[in-house]
Order: sequence, then structure tokens, then C-alpha cells
Amino acid sequence: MSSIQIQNVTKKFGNFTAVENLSLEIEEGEFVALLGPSGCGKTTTMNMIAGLEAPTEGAILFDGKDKSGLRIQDRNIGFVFQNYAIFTHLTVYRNLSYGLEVKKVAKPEIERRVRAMADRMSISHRLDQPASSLSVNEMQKLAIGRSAIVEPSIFLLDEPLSNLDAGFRAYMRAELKVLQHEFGQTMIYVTHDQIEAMSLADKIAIIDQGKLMQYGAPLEIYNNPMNRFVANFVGSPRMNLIDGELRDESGQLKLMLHGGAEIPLAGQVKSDFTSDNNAHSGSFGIRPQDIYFGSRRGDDDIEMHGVVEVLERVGPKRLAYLQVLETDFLAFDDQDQLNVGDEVRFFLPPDKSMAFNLSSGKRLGASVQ
Amino acid sequence: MTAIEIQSVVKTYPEFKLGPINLAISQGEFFGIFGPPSSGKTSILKLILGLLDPDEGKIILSQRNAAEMDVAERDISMVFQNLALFPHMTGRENIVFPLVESGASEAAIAKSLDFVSEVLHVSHILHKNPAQMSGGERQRIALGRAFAADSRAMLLDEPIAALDARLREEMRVELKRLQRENNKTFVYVSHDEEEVMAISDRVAVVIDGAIAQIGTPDEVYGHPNSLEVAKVIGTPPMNLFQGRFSDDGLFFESDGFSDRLQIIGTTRKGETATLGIRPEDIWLTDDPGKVGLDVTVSSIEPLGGYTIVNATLGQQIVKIRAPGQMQFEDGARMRATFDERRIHLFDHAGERV
Repeated sequence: MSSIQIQNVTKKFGNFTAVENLSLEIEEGEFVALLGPSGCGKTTTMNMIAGLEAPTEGAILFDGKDKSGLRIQDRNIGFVFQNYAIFTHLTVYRNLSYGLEVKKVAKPEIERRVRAMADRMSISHRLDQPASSLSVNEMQKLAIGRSAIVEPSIFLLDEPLSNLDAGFRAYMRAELKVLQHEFGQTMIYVTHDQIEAMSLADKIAIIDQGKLMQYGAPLEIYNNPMNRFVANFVGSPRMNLIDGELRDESGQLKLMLHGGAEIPLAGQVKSDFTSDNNAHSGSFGIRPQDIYFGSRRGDDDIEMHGVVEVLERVGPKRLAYLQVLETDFLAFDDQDQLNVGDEVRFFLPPDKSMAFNLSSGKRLGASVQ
Repeated sequence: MTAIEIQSVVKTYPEFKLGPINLAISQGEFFGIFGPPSSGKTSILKLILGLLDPDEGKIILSQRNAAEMDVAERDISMVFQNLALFPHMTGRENIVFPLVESGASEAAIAKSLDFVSEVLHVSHILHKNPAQMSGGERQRIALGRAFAADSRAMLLDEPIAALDARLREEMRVELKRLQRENNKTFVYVSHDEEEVMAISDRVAVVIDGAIAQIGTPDEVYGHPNSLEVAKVIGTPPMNLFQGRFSDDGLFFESDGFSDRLQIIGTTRKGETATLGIRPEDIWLTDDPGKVGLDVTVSSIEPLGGYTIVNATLGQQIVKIRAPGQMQFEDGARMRATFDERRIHLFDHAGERV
């Protein structure tokens, strides 16, 4: 187990800045996800932690110590990659025992640990078979087991679940979490899948274009995104982010949308928008589950009118695309009451809405720390 | 009106048999074909397109036997997963390629290009080569090419699988709009269950070369007709428990259950069976007085809009989708109640009871 401090790290490849002045504190035993779109710099960050790449500027400390001189094999780091890196010509047993043999662990101890890990991963019945005979799902279990068995102080996982089918992915997510609880290792998990990050991690670092956009616990990030990028990236279905020009019409602040529609701002979200005098264009954010139909519940709730354009079945719910001129609002059709083509009235509660400055992307308002 | 009909089609490979497939796709329908990798989905598209000939059975396109038509006559366009754009051609050249090939007039080509640019919003990228476009832009050009051909039907093979999650969500609703506004027949293949269910008017679930079920997304989700369909539809998947019906047929018993469950409706007295319940159809309470099964919370996945609770029920992990943001302590002992209207029962052969 180790704590990791990433201090003002920048990584350049020629003229391209892959990571820019990134700082992160990862505590001992913590499960941290590095989350972002492809090409955002998350894998480069992980590679620097692993020692596969050296930072151009800044430092990475392990338990307060700089290990930049240390060889990778001496850093006691376990890896699991997307493409497994399994020795397919060896048996499952040898794949599991290999790391322990390299470490010159005594034979009876190796045998004990291999059997325990195989049991843990439910692949005991496969121990004597070649790894090439395993299914994709078993292969992934083996890859994780093989790294976990040497009890590394830091465990790095790069998109380890992305090749798996959805059902098994959901199952492996739960398994990984239990595993991390059992071993208590510091785990760093690279993914572009926000559901995976939310469900697994103690903390999520969201990275875009090499920069850290927000770092915090999953629900903290979900409930209180600091900028438009994070608001857009986290949550499924996505948050409604409606862009427009702010206009004050004799005291009534409005967000004028492309295509002619408008949102009459009220309550908390109105004061959030007015907290920044420099905001001329803004983005109005509200999650689909916070939009409701029927009769008004709160005095300040913003009333909108639209047409149901598309209905999607998303898991147990139906997701409605409500078109207001050229703008879509996504909302849940909780009562299964909507039909395509229906004209509907819906409400946006201001205390569940968020305000962003469109040009800087920053979240606006007093509710932001 | 039926646009595409597949009648008892069988295609045999050395190690795989597809079919017999029976399908009727209506004009203007968005028809989804879902199945795990290598289940035979793409072969169905190739049979419709004419890239493969059936060993048995026939394919009818607007009342004509497709066996008598060559690929061009079938008038079906296809969008492949890898898009298959010509890298040396601009977006414009890629889009009009099928029209130029078929000898369309200049005026017809220009008209079609206008239409496609309008509906797909690609005017600003027509001059670019595919290499200069983003994934989503390339996607639209590939769709544009299929649209320009204005064919009888469009077959789409995992057309957005390569895009980022967010872009996939945007593209899927865009596809749906395009299809509906232009009253096109779409046959859409994907291994992504959520995507197919979201986008399709009807879905065919293909497993091991056979059609396991056809229905609207609501039907397939709410009433999977077999255990194998139940296993592949829904994320997280349906919770399944092995057990048996009591001799009087009134209860379902399972080793892991702290109590037997009363069953409303048809049962098979004394027979072994599997009980399925979706994660959202289980309610958790910490009131030990409530009727229900004892579970122990092992971990939670806070997803913001809802919470996935992983709990042990007997020897098994059960996944529960709780509304909102719930906090439970690991190891908390709870009662789980199954929504009795939403219990799925399957007999020993895996058929829905």
C-alpha cells in the first residue's frame, strides 16, 4: 500500500502537451478512477505513475518519496491492461504462479496462494488447462488474479473491462470492488466509461485535454459539477445543458435559445446566473430525472411547453425527447403516459437546475464552493 | 406493407448454422437485431443484401423473390461498422459515389446532395477528406452515402459502435429522427442491448443462430419468453434464482431464500424452475417485520440518478436498483421484497412459464 502525490505534472510529446500541470493526492488504499474521453491524457498519467513515462515537469511521490530513479520492476506495481497480457501458451496455474516465481516465493507458499486466488476468481477447475482455452470472461479474471496475487502496493488498471459483454461487465465491477476491499491496495483505474468510474471509485479525477477538471467522490461530482464539461460527462442519461444568450427584459432574466425559444429564469438558478456580471451567454443545466410533468409543485418552477419527439426505452424507464422549437429537453416518462407527437407542459425546478458560464465553462452561483 | 420478408432461411457454415429465420419487416419500420457477438446478426444482413445466398428458404423484397434479383436490383444500402469510406475522396465525393456509379444525372445528384446535407448537417464538412473528420462526422458521411442512394431499405451494422459513449447517445436519437422523418426502413444490428432497445420499433433477439424472440422493446424487456433472452436483455442483468415450485404449486422455493415466495398465476407443481427478477423490481427495507427475504449489503454503486446495491442472498449476489442516492453500510442486513407482478418464471427447459 502506498499513497501517491502527483505534483504539478506536465508531460509533453514534442509540441503536444498530453498532461498539463496536473496535481492529485491519492491516499493509501484508495480506489481512484482517472476518467475522460479518449486522448484526454488519462493513460499518459497512469503511465507516469507506473514509471513507463517520465514527467516533463513536476514530480510524482510515493509515500512522500521520489521514485523516479527506480526501475519499474522495483516499484511493486501491478498492471491489468485491456488486452490481458496473458501467457496463452502456459497453463492457468503457471500464469498465476509466474509473478511469485520471479519473486522467489517458496513453492508450497506459491501453491497455496495460486489455489486461493483461483478459488477467489472461480477458475479453480481450469488450473491445469492452457490459458488459451479460457473464455474472454475467464481470461479477464485470470488477468486480474495474476496481478493481484503478487500483492503489489499499487494496482493500475487500464480499461480492464472494455472488452467484456455488458452483463459480465456489471458482474466484474462488483467483483473488483470486493477485491479492493479485501486487499486494501491503492488502485488506479483508467476508464472513459463514467458509469464504471462512478460505481467503482472512492474518488474520480476527471481529465479533459490534459487538464484536471474536477477531483472528488462520485456523488460529489455528480451533485456538484464545477464546470460544464464535468456536468456533461457524468451521468447517464446526460444532463440537459441548454445553451443560450442571457437577456434582461425589464427585470425578467431570460436565456434566449437558438431557434427562438427561451427559458424564463427564476429562483435559485436566476440568482446563480446573475452572480457573474460577465456572463453574457450561459448554459442551463438540469438532469432528466428532475424535470416533471403535470401540475406545478413549486412557485418558482419554470414552466415550458414542448412536443414529444422521440421516446426511448432505457432500461426500466422511458426517456422522452421534448422538443421546444429547435431545443431538446430529455426527461423521464415515469408514468408511461407520453406518446410521440404529444404537446406537453413540463417544469424545471430552479433549485435543481445549474448555471454555467458558456464561454469559460465555469459553474456559476453561490451553491458552488 | 412488408418491405423485407425472410422465410425459413437457413445458412450452414462448417461450424455454425444460422436459422431457420423467419422475419417480416414493415415499410418505415426501425427494426433492431440484437445478439451477442457471433450470434449470426451480420449474416442476416448479408443475406438481405445479397452478399450471401441462403441454403434453404427465401427472401422476399416487396413481393419479389430476391433470389431472382442481383445486388443492384435489390436496391438496399448498407452502412458498415468500419464505415468503408473512400479515404482519397472528399465527403461530397463519398456521398454521391453510388449515384455517379448508377449513372444518375447531374441535376439528380445535386438534388440528392442538397437533401442529404440538409438532414445530416454535413454541408460544412463536404470538402474534407475522411482523415480530417471526427468520428461523428465520418459517421454522418457514411450515413449520407447510404441516404443519397435513396434505396428501399438501409441496413446498419453496428454503425456507431466505434464512437464515444456520449456521441453514441446523440447519434442514436439522430438516426431515429432521420428514419422517421423520411419514413425509411432501417434494419439495425448491434450487440449493445441498451442501444437497440432505445432505438428500435421492434427487436429480434438472435442467439446461437436462431431468433429467440421478436417484439417491441417493451415486450422483450417486460416479458422475455425464455431464460436466454432474459439473460441478455437488461443492464445490470436480471437476477436469476434456481429452485422449484412447491408441490401445491403456490410457492417458489430456493436454497438461498430465507423464506419461500408466494406465486400468483401459473406454476408447475413440484417442478424445478428458475425465478427471475429485474434489479428495479426489488425493494429494500430495514424493517425486519416486513415480508421479504433476508439479504446482506455487500457494496453499493452510486450512479447519481439511482443506486445499484449489491447484496448477498444465500450464496448469490443479487443486484438491486434503488431509486435516488441511497447510503447503506457494507454488511447491513436488510429485507428484500420482490414486486410480485414483475416476477419472471422459467421452466427446466428455460421456457417462460
